Amino acid sequence: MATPAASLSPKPRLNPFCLPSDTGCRFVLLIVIVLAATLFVYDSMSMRGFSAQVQLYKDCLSLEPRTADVLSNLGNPLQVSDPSELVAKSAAFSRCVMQAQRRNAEWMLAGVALVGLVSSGIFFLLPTIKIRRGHLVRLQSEDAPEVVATLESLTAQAKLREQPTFFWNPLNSAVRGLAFGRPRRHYVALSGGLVTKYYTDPNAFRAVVLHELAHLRNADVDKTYFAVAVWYAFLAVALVPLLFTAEWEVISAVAWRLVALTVLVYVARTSVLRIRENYADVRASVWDDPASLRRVITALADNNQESFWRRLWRMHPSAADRSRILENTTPLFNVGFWETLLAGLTCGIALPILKLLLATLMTGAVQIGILTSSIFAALVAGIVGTKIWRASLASTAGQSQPPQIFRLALALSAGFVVGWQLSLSAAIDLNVLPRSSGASVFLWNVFAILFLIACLLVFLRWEITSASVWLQSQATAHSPTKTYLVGRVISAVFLAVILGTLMTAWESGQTYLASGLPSFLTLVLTGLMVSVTQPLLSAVLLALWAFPLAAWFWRRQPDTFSTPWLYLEQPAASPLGSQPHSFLPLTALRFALQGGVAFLVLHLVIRLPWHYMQPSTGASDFSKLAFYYSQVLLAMLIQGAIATVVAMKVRTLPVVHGLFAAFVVGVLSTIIFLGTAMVFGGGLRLKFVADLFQTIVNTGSVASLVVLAAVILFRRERQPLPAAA
Amino acid sequence: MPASQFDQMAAEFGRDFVARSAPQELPLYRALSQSYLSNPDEPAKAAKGKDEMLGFGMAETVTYLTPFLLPVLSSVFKFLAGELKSSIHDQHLVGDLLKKVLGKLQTPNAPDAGPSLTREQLAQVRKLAFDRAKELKLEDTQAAVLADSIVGRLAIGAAG
Repeated sequence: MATPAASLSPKPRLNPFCLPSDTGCRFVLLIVIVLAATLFVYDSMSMRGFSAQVQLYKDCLSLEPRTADVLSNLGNPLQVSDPSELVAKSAAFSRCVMQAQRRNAEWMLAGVALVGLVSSGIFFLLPTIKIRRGHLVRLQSEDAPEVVATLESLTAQAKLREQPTFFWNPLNSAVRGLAFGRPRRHYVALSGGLVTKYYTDPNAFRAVVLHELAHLRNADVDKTYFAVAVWYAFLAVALVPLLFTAEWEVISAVAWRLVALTVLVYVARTSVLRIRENYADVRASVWDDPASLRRVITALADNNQESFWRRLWRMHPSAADRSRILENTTPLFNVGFWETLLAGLTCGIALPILKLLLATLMTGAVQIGILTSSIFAALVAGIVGTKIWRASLASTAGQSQPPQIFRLALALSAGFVVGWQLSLSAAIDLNVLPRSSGASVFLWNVFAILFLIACLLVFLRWEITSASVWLQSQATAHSPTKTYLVGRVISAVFLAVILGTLMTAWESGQTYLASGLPSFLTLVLTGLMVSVTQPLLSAVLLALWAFPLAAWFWRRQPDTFSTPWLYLEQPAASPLGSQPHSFLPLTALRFALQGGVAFLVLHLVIRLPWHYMQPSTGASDFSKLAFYYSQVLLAMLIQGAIATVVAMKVRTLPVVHGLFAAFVVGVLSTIIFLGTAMVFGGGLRLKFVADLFQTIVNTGSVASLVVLAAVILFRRERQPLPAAA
Repeated sequence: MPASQFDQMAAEFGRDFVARSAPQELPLYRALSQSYLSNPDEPAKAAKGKDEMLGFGMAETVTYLTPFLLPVLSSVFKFLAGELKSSIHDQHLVGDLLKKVLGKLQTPNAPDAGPSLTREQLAQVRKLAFDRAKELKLEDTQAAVLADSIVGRLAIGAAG
């Protein structure tokens, strides 16, 4: 890139274009909010009356199997003796709910299609409207030949894929430029006052035009005008029709949710419009002398005394903010509490209504749960994950502090929980579902929220670690985008598994507890027992160490090359670092092998006497179970111990190395267990092998994770404070 | 509405004002006057510092003269035509006389000079120009500068 911006700041500016920008993230967020809000509105409109809708659900609930029916069918706590009647009742209940919701689903789908159609129509027509209303005419060479020649040269400098058409309004004396248009047809409108600036202040003219061309280069013009179109479409074909057609009973039931959703849509749209300006400023500052741009920004009509709330509604960032970011781009890499909260809110609002919609289109609670949680996961991984990667990059480059994961996890979970309450399904739940006032349901909800926070903490920590090491591994590459994209896919799958499981468990638990079936403690213990044998949990635990550690294969020598994509100004002042080079997977492997040997010895010490002390008729079930779990416990202890030793030995990513070692010990322990079982005459069934593997690996890895967290805390406590502190 | 003869005259004689008062706008004069003539009723837009939706630019006060000058001049010429009409018997000569008056704007020492404007008429022209500029949303100081500039030119013409 060019170097004129070097004069701006003594510190090199991070390149905000090396990873997908905030504009894209916020745009996706806006679309999801509008989608959720539209579903919400059309679901409300589909109701013939709120009480009628509630009555429909109540009728369905009367078909649901009663607690007494279930209890009478239970032969023992985990087995239903004759399920046919229960299954029939359950199927009748599901059919009833599906029928009750079918009409709503039709309305919702029609609503989404209508808003989409109208948005597209407005988006398509906006350029024409803008040209007509702005009295814009094409800027011809005969009008101002020097100006046209300069515009051509600036367009060439911007390296645009498609050339924009320049328009102007000669009679508009404002000094203003505007990029607008639709895909493959972009325009830049110049006011007459701006064109005059070409003769009186050519630097200011260049700065304004380059800023507008930067919008085109950043590909944010289409997003911007679609965001504007979506807002108008939402108002025109969702909000206004609801206010005029829905019954008062419905409106009063959803009023505050509707207001909150509309405000959210507006805030999300405005945030898209605001953030893109910073990116355009930075891009333009690379192309030309940034002093002119700074002068234009300073000359913007601005009121720095504005309150926080007024600033929230602004379409443009304040001049002070723009100047600050022009000097130092690091704030464009921050991941803040409020935007994370907004992402959580969006997901919380969208998820239940999407689930409701899917429930009318397909069957199977688990499949629906997985699909909806996958969408949620993709959103979080795409929006929050992208911001985490950006924040990690700034922190790895030494330009900012690492993201505060606790705040982010809290923001995301709080947003999610509040968003869930904002959704229409929450409104219906309050009126339909039998609310159990028991402490167990409350405890279960608190437990689920705490578990959600814990899962998000692990996810965010993992995301930051992975981002940091993978970006370093790509330091000498042309661009980190490919790695980033792979990271997004893995991250989305990772999160989908965690959240899908959590959501299914939470809903099942709530249903059980509301029906008065098991106690809270039984539910938690059963849940834990079930989860340790889940193959998906093994996959998540594997990803925890495998993804960050895999960067070792792409390691490079430290400080050998500069990073071409890291800074706007070249040459880069400092390279990105080379953490993967100091990974020690072989050391972890060596310790893991020692752990395997330890398991072998101790396993034989236990197995031999147990085997030879059995009566000739064979071991009892209890004895077999006791032996089985003793070996699981033994493997778990050794995994925890080896993980701790490895974490103490390795300085770089101790938790990742520790988890890797624990996993290898788990695999070796499973092989040894199965090997000795065969030697002593046992057979192998695939189900048994899978259960054993998952139980050993999952329990060992989870235990190691807890131990490693304690080790890290302990190490931090013992670390001496820096001298300056 | 099509351009009146006064609009045409404003476009014709405005160049001289622009050349003296805002020479930086001369390269654009042709395009601007054409744009004005194609739609003389479209009001010129003064720059406002409001947070416009998606555009980017400077929020400085207007330094752009031409779009305001042309409608103001047109009004002034219309007024002058009225004044001349009331002072001569042959109404067909109004156009020619006006052109002679205006011709002095371009060449003040021209031998075939038309009638001169009185002090009162000049004061009326200033007020008219100022009011018209204010109608176009120009600020007081800018409207005054524009009005003074027009009267100044007419007065020089008269003195010549």
